[in-house]
Amino acid sequence: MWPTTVMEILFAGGMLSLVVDAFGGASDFVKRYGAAIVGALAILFSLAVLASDWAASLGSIVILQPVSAPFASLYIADKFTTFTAFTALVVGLAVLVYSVLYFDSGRRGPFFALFTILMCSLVGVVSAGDLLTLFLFWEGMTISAYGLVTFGRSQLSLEAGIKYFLMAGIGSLLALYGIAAIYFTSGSIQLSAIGAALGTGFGELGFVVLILGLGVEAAIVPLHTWLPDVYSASSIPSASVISGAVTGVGVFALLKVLQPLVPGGGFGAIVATTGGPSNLQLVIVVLALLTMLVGNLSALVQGNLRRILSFSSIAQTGYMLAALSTLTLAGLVAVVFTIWNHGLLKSNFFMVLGKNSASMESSQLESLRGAGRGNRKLGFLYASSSMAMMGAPPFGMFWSEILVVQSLLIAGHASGVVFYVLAAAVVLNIVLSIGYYFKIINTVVFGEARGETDDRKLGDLLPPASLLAISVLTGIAPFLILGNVL
Amino acid sequence: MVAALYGALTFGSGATEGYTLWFPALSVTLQVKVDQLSVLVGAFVSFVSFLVVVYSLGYMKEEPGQSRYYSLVLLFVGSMMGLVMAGNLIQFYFFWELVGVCSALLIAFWTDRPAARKAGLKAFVVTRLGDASLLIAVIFVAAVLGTTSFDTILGPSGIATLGTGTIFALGLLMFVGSMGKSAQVPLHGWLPDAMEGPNTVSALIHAATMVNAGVYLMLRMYPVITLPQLSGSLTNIILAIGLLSALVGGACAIAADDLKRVLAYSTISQLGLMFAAIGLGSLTAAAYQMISQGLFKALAFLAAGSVITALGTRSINEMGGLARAMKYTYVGFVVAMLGMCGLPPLVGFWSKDAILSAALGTWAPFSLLLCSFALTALYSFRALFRVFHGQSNTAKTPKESPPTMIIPIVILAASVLVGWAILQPQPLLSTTSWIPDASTLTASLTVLALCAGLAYLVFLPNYRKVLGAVQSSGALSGLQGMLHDGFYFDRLYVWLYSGIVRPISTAVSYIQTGLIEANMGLLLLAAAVLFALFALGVL
Repeated sequence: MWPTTVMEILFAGGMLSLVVDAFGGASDFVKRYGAAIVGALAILFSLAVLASDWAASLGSIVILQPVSAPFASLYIADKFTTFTAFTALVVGLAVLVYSVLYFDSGRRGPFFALFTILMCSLVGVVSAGDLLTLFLFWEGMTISAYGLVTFGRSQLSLEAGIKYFLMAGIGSLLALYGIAAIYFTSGSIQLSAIGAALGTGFGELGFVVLILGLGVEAAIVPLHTWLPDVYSASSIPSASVISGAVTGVGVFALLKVLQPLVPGGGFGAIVATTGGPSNLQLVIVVLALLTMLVGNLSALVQGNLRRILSFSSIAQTGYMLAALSTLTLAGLVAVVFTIWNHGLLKSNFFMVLGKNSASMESSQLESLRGAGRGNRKLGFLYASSSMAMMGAPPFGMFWSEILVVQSLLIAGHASGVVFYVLAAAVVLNIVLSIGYYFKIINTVVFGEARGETDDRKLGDLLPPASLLAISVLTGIAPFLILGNVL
Repeated sequence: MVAALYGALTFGSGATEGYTLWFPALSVTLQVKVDQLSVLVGAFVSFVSFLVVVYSLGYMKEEPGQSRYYSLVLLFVGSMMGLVMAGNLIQFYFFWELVGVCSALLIAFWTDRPAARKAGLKAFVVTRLGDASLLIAVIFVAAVLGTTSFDTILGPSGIATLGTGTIFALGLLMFVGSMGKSAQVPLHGWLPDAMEGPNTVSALIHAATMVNAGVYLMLRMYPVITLPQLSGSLTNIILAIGLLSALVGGACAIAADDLKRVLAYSTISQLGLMFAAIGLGSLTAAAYQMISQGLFKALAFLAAGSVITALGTRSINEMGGLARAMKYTYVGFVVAMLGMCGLPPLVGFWSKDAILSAALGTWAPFSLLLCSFALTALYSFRALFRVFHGQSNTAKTPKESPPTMIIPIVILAASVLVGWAILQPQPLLSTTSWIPDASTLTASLTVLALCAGLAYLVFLPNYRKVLGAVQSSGALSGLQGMLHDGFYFDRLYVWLYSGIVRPISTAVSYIQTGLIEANMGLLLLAAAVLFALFALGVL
């Protein structure tokens, strides 16, 4: 099945990129494009393997154990992991192609190697079948992402990278504590068996602490403070892949931990006999509320476009967390579909921002004023990206928001008023978000142009435009993307 | 347009066609619903859209961004048709949102004007507040009933099977959604500002089509909002809001100096009458008023556009005496105003008479409706006299508009004059009586005559004296100021944002200190709180 094969391809691709970069010889073409081509081929082959296993992965959960030994890694192939891995790879491919155009000087081989290893780690996190495997790939993902954040070696990116590393480090410690508590109470680290830990107070604490630890990467409030700095200070390709893939996989890790508790989630969980939400659910509800409110309210007063996008990502995490709090199959579907839409659109947005907004000063809204007016294609992309993130049709995010609210209303109907309140909060937050997205349109697209025109050609805009087009396809013909997946 | 009109005229019986499974996760099938309501409204939308696009050929000739304009207009028309023909609530909502997006972008069409950009944002935000309410209702129906197909949810095994409180909540949520799109108090403030957009946009979207979408939703959901178990609780609310909007809109229209804002407030008022009709239990009257208001309001806007293009101003204080120089425009405007006032036998008369007849036997709604008709006559004749009669207040020499702008005006004028002959036999409207009730006829004509006479006296020969008297009286000038400012609703919205939302946003943003110590402290604090809650047995 695809998990192990894909990871092998990507890992090999990452290593080969380094080799090509180091031993590429005097050829300028190899030095410039060699590592990128290897990385792109690795991702393309991975997508091909995923496609060949697609149908088999959509049935009941397949648990793989490549090596038969105690504590040997387990991997899972089901519709959620398959679709999320697909999301990460599609976003990764678009960002990688964009990176080739972005880096026009300097040594870039290590970047593409790190990028491909990051993809491998993301697939590992997505397909992990036990908590230790999840944790190992989680660390791999964090380290790769750290390398990408600090790649430019500017003062700001190093500072952002350190903040990220420290926060993620504490998160990892908390996650390890949670894993230990769950193992202590359930006797297992396999995802199929950890549900038993919920029967005890210590086990429940373990779940909560694990969610908190993993929540750093997903940028749950109050663990989110690293994200605006990282998004602001990283290079555009790094910010694109972190916002589009890493944050989404971070949320998916939370889904993995909670999936065994969901009736119909594939692990045989049963419906709880008590009517109201459990303590675990209440904690997640509170975190979801905080996350979406802090995300949207903070974004409203930002003057820097990158920081607006970072807080917007935090808000989106809040919506996904709200869907997860329901512990329903509808909630899982909502999260996975939102990861897809958010991944496409957020990556796209950063690529639209482009190199001209590489510094903090140049990504200020006032510096970008009228950028869309001088370059019509760019203006169209800015406007479309903003409308798409708002959840306006015909973009795919429209359906994500419906699915999130639907899962909350289903849960509310079954479990009480808490989820109705959360549904209302999600909807009101979506309305709040219009404030800052329209500010982007008003300033960047409609504002009077100042300074030089952003003269990017169509070729530079093709990677983000392709992600936007996929989002339109998702919105107009969701059955083509979802089909029999979700 | 031809196909739609042919379909409307030869319509036999209704059907809902399903095509493909559109959104599998919600079991939503792409459906087209063809019934009396969708065919009538669809034909009307395509008729008005066609005329407005023809008008645009002349009106927008010199404007830059034409490809953007026409693509947005056509996307809008397509979305509006999709909304009207939708066979289920989710599909309906998809096109409902798309219509709102197109509207906001078209309002902000002249992107170099800050007022236009601000108006586009305001329209989007306010209508989205209503949309949020509708979204919850739509998804709730999907979640609980497992389907949103109109054939099912409006039938005996649909929403009617839910508890009374649930049905009321659903209906109310949907009505709030309607209020946003159809600019009803207190979600009406976006419509007057939307006049910053091109005139064709105002005529098409903000007079004849999009603003009717809310009414259309209520007409579509009529079997639910009139369920016996609700005992009229919901329809009473709809009636109250409708009457309030009719009066607020009418009062503000009298004080507005911008010709387009007069028509915008008038639209709010006329839409209020539609909701009042629904509240009074007359689906026919509401549907008739929807079509007739669309016709005479679109006509009014196109005629106003002709004037504004000729003079380069929207202020009625800089107009006057245009009747001779712009004959066709003048005739079109007169027909529009008379249609709006309900002069028989114009199309507006029949719809207004149907609404008034629905209120027969009630004291308060009947009286308030008459007050609204009075206000309608006052602001209509005010606009007519100030723009086309009296002395000219412009230095420009106005010329009549080109044929591409005049022909649609003439066609719409003809439809207002004789459209009742085609509309009345339509299945949905055929219960409207050809012979009006004597009491309603007497009441409406008396109000019309009195107010027309009063408007003549106040706004023509004695205008300066009246203006002087108002300005020298503290109470009257205060009242004028309040009406001019739309009863200060805008100030309330601004206060809500800058007084509540913005300070909270600023306070929340202080969490982001940028200091690593603070970041880690926050994380550890969160962990400590959780541990403590578990240790104390709270969780």
